[in-house]
Amino acid sequence: MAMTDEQLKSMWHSTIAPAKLQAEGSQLNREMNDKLLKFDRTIRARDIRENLSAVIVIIFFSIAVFKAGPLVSKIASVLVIAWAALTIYITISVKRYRVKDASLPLLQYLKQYRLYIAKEKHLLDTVLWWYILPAYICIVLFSIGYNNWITIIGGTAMAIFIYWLNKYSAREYFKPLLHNLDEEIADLEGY
Amino acid sequence: MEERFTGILNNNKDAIYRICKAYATDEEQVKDLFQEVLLNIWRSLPGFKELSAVNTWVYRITLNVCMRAKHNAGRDHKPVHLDSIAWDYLPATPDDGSRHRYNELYTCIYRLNEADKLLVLLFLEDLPYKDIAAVTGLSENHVAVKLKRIKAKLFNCLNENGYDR
Repeated sequence: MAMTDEQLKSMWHSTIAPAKLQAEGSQLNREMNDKLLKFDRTIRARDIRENLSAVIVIIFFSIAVFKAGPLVSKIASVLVIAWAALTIYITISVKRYRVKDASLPLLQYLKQYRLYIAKEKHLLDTVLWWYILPAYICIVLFSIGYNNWITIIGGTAMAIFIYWLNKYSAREYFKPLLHNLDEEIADLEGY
Repeated sequence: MEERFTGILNNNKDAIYRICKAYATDEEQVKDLFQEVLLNIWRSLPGFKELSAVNTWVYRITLNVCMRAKHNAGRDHKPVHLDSIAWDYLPATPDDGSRHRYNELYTCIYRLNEADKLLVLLFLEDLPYKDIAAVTGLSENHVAVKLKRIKAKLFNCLNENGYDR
């Protein structure tokens, strides 16, 4: 049986949405605005949660700068504060690349989304240098001041675990996603 | 804004639904995607300056939301549920007579790669090449060349399943 473009389109158009709007005016307005508010609040809460540990670290070590006895621990406290502030700055600067405009042409959307994912992956790939190692050095310095080897051993184990976790996430989620995005962009741009 | 939104929804809900259906794995996911598209339309509406046609703008949002959902599959994501939307339990697909052909069409669309799939969806929606170019960000000529090849692929697939062009 022969099939033409028009028949194909007509078959495609035979699907109708079983959805109908049952609220109008202010009720709809209220629900949409409530959902958006809730959605934005969830995103904001997640961002705050991500940086909360760094803020707690800043508060704790700001006190430690004055309270710590050994000089090496005071120096380590200052370094920890600088490191925590840097991590907040780095994570916020990457979030700036999130695609906020849902009405972009698809190719532009994919490219912007790819850029954001590439930035996120780069953070995970380099986590040793900007996150784990500086924090580890600070912990070791701080603990040396107090001759606290248990903290050093615990810190080493934690550093290894965080490193593994970040590498796992980069490999299992971000790498395949980036690969898919590259493929989709190439397929779209190619002939 | 409510009136404008209602107008957009009434004029485009079938198209949004069809595209969501092509990206979903089950009916529940179709509804989730559909509602997420509506929420994104609502969010973007105040910034819509009518530099493009309304339906072009709606297709962009729909495809971007569907692609985003696909990319985020498996990640922690809470679906949107709008009480303002009622779902009829009427058959959303054609009657039994043409259902087989219709399912074959979907099967063949699923077999295409992502880029080909979204272009063919816009073609099936009966969008002129100029509008498909505006939705995708490709040139009109590029769309025409690609669609010629994709349509051949689609018809080949349908032929393999017993339909001659």
